[in-house]
Amino acid sequence: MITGRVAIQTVGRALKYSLRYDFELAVKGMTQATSIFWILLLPLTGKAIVDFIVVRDISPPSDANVPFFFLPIIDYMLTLSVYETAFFLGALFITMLVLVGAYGTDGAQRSSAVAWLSEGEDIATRSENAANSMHSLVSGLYGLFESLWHIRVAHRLNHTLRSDIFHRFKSHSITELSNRANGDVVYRAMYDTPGVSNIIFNLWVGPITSFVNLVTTILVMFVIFRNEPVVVWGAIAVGPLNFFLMLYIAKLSRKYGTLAREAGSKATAVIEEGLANMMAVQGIGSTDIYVEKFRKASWFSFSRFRQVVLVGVSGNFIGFVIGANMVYIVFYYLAVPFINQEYSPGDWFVIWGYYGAISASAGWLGRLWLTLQEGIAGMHRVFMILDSELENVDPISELQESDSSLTLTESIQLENVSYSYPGGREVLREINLSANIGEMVAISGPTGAGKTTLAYLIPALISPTRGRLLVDGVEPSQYDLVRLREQVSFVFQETSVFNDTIANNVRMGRRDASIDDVQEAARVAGAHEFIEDLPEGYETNLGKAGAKLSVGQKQRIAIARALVSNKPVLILDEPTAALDPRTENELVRNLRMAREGRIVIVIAHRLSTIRAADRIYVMDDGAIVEWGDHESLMRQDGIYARFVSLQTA
Amino acid sequence: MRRIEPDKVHFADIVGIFLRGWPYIRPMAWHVLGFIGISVIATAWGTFWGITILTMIYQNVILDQPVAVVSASILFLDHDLLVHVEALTVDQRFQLVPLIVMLAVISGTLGAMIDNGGDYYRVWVMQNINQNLRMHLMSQLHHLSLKFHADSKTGDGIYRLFQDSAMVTQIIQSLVIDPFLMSVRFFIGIFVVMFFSPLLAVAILVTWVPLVVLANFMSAKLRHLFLEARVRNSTLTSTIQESIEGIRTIKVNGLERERQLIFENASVDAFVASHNARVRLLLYGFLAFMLAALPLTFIELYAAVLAFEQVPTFASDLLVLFGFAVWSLGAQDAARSRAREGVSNIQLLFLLWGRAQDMAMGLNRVYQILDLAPEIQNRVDAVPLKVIESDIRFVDLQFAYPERRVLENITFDAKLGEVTAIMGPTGSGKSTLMLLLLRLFEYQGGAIQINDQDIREFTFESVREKITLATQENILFSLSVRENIAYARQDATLDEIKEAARIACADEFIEQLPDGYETFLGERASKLSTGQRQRLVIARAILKDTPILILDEPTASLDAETERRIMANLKEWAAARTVFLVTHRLSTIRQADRIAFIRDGTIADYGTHNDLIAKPDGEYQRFVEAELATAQQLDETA
Ligand SMILES: Nc1ncnc2c1ncn2[C@@H]1O[C@H](COP(=O)(O)OP(=O)(O)OP(=O)(O)O)[C@@H](O)[C@H]1O
Ligand SMILES: Nc1ncnc2c1ncn2[C@@H]1O[C@H](COP(=O)(O)OP(=O)(O)OP(=O)(O)O)[C@@H](O)[C@H]1O
Ligand SMILES: [Mg+2]
Ligand SMILES: [Mg+2]
Repeated sequence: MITGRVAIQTVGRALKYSLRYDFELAVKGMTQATSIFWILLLPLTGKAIVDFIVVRDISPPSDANVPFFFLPIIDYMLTLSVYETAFFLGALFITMLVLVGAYGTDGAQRSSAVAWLSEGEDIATRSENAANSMHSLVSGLYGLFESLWHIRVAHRLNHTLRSDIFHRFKSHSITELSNRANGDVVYRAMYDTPGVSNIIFNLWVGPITSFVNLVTTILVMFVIFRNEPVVVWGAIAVGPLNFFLMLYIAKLSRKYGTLAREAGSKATAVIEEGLANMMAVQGIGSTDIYVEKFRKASWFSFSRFRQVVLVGVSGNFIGFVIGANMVYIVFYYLAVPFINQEYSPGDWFVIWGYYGAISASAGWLGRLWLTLQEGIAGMHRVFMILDSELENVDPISELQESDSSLTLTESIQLENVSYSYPGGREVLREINLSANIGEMVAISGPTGAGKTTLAYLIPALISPTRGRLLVDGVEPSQYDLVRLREQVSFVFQETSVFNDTIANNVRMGRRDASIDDVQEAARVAGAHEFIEDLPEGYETNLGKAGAKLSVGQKQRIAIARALVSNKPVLILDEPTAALDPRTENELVRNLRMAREGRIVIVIAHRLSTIRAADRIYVMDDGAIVEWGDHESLMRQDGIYARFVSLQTA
Repeated sequence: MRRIEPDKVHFADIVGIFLRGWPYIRPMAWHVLGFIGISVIATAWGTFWGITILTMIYQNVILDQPVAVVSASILFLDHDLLVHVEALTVDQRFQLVPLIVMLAVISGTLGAMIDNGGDYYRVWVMQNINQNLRMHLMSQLHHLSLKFHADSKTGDGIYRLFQDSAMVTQIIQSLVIDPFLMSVRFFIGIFVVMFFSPLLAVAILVTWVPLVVLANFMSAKLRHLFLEARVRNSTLTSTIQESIEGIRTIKVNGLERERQLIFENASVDAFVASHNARVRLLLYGFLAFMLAALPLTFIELYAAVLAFEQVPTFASDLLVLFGFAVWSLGAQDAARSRAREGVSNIQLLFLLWGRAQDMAMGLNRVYQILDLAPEIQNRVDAVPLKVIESDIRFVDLQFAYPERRVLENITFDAKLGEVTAIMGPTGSGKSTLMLLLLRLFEYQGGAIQINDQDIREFTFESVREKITLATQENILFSLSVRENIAYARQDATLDEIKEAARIACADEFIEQLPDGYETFLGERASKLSTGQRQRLVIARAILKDTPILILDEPTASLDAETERRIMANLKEWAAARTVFLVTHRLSTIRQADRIAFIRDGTIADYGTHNDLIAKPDGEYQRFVEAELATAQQLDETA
């Protein structure tokens, strides 16, 4: 749970974050603060209508009740007849309309340039308005400008934040990522990041505006109604009252905001998992079960959001009680001078106009802490990711980019390497393995022995918990790991292809590969034939996660991708699992040729694949138990020999 | 229903889109009425007390007008002293102040409670309505065949389920209640002002004319932009989902930078699209406000002038009850606030229309999916499949994906109670054939027969109930081991689960996991090795325990020893069941009773292992030779 302390830190970080756009925010803040000037004019024009037309009580003009900047207008109106005044004020209003979209009497008659869109009743749908927030207290040309500026700042902030969090996710180690639902990544990047707009605008722009508003209004009040301090103090008191009475509500808001986001992220994960694996869901006849699971997750997320609403509703109620009662108290005092005719009836509007302005600002400031909680809940979830540990290879960081010149020319060795997955048992124990350029090395062994884990060590997808990885006999420094990974191409046991054309999928191995290179790689991988058979050939789109290919075809696309990259180390994890013997034999022959000038490491269960290797490592339960070439292993008559006999019998 | 293009829809189409939301609202109809009732009460309550209290403050405290009849009755005031007098004395005015405050405290607190309670209630009702649409959309997505899903994007599904469907919650509020209330307030404004001055009433009445012109002029473009914004944001969602799904491939190919760029471009595109849409809406709102404000300025000043002239109000006989026999400060205030209320409501109504274009586009994206006819549908006379009594026959079966023909002429029988192996080169259509049996795709020619009837004569649900598929790709969910095995049969006992795991040779590694059967497996069960996952998939299929079991390459990721044991277990377990075994592995095929060899879309060979191996130059024989080729080579070298 987020403590008050953490909440304050979160706010601080969000502010620090926003400093990247200090100029933009400053402009926005200034524009909004200035717009208050226009709003302050409104009660005066309202008074002008009452005093100069309706009541026409213009003598004597009590300058005390009018701020200096309005005096020339008053003076001018004194020279006009009623009808002329009406025309004059009409012209004044229309001008103000065009400029600031406000006119009329008591400040309620103004439009504000906002463009929010309808949203649903959960956080995910509400995030869109936050990410695209645009707002101005006034309208007209002034308001339009301010709003356009605002949305521009909001977009930059949100874009930066969501790009950062996306980058961060990509840089997590694969072990870390297996703990995280894909749906959660979507949720945080899309729906949690907009919390930043909420915090920043509320904290950067809002207080400035409210403060300026407060000070100006109070000053004006003291100038023209210096005999009624109750009005000012009462209005100001709304602030602290709100703050203290809402402290507890704020805590609840934070708590339920976080819970609601967790529930929403869970629901997203359920959708993601189901839609991405439709064949499994339909194939095992679990459609109903799945749909039911979604129903629960979705409703749970709605319920959590309702708790947020309940907290908000309670806050509103308390806020209302505070605000309304203060109005009554002030009214109680203010009735006296008005009954005693110390002011003109027109002053009634002015006084309440100012009271409204002060108490609104004070109340806003008082409720600010509460308002922030919603954003804090989201931002905390974002910062958790931005703070999380990265894997030691970070290709985007500049440091790693410049500093290393590692190239592999001879060999890769693992020296006494042990590895345990985070929170798991030791799955590799004292591994010693070496592979030289020009060799094809096979790793075999029962399922779960640790073959894949071992292979992950080579491109530094994971790092040894003990022991060393040596490249050309030296241990690569941390900065070399990016370079190391660049030297390795890896075909995963479970291949993944992207929703793109075949050519582009192959080109993921090397971006500048020509179509000839692509075709050549496909040919070696045994994929060229079937690709040519497709109506659109290499330009065929593969559909969601390659849904339009058979598993064996996908596997060959992945192999082609690795081959086209032409890197010194080629690792293939069970490349032939989904291939028929004929395709397999051909591929193995090609791989033997591919070892010229590189290291080929192939993990396989199938004898036909393994026996082509120069050296075979046999693993069992995390350790290498036998190694050598096929003949020597057969002579040892151990596990390997038994596997061979099982397969050839 | 005709296709909705943002450019070519009419008012009626938009209304049609909203009316289609009714089935999701209907189950909540009473509650909808309930919360409408509450908001009506709250509004009436607020308005009544607001007017009463404000009028008293103004007329009776600030000015010295006599108290209105209604207010006096509510507060049990003496009518003779306070109502039927010329003016109130200063003392009387002082005495009224505490009464007014008391009234305000009570009515305000009660009103706020109704208001806030109603808010919470509304959220609950709306969430229910949204949930109804989400569920319909989700079950529709599950009824659409794999053909649809091959082309759809996961992120897009998320977007439609969340963002697009949420617009259904707006139908009641934004398209029924608000417009109704706004129109009502508009007409109330006109109505009230009419008593003061018919001319002013006419001025209010005509405000909608320029607004209609404006709306007409801008709606199509708004719709276009809103749709674009939704499409772009949904693309962004998909970009995230796809990147994270393929993260390992991205990492080892050093594509982080490129993916980041793709993401940032998608993010910028989404923001640009949202920007364009919202700015256009902003402009629309600005223009609408200007069009409404101009007549209001006129009304305001004209009323002020009337008040100055103190001319009698139009219906002075009636208005005298409220103290407005002649135009006065109070009358001007009353008339102009009503006028303002009326005009700003009609303006808000048109603003709402602007936003409604977005809601319509969102809902329409949901309907697009709902309107897709599921490819797999039951025939009208379909009956449930009860018991499987005969062989499963494939008769001259033909199937083509939209892009390519896969199966031309498949004819063979899978004998009841036997293991039939399906073999063939990769990409020959083995998996496809199995999906046809499950009716996950619809074949175009020929038939698959059970009990001598085309399976399409049975309901597809009942057919699927009889068959379980252990998919070729080992797909598990981010749940515990136990929940994963029991995914398709949630009522299974732990013993049954353990038994299934034993048959699939999974028990040995499960027991070594930190929390045994309760171990959480991580996203896509990525904390297991592939072979371990494969065995869980098999265990899951075994636990489902259906008469027909399809194992698609069940041993692809297993070592020879484990494979031998699983196959032996399976053979024993499946004694009374019909099993399809898709495989390339000779060692696996040995457990099959009969073998069907697919090549070039037809059955090239069919029979028992011994039949086929004896057949000179058959496809199967060649296959076996290829498989043994390496082993033979080895023997030679040895
Ligand atoms: N992310 C992970 N977190 C915890 N344990 C893991 C993780 N990935 C794998 N393991 C465990 O590590 C062990 C070795 O797994 P690995 O994938 O290396 O096996 P393998 O030899 O490749 O097996 P297979 O032939 O089935 O692919 C297994 O017991 C597995 O359960
Ligand atoms: N959804 C789809 N849309 C279009 N074509 C498809 C689709 N699914 C599969 N195909 C194509 O249909 C053919 C048969 O695919 P299928 O998955 O049935 O092959 P398979 O025999 O199971 O192969 P493997 O042994 O590699 O698993 C392949 O050429 C494949 O490209
Ligand atoms: Mg593995
Ligand atoms: Mg297949």
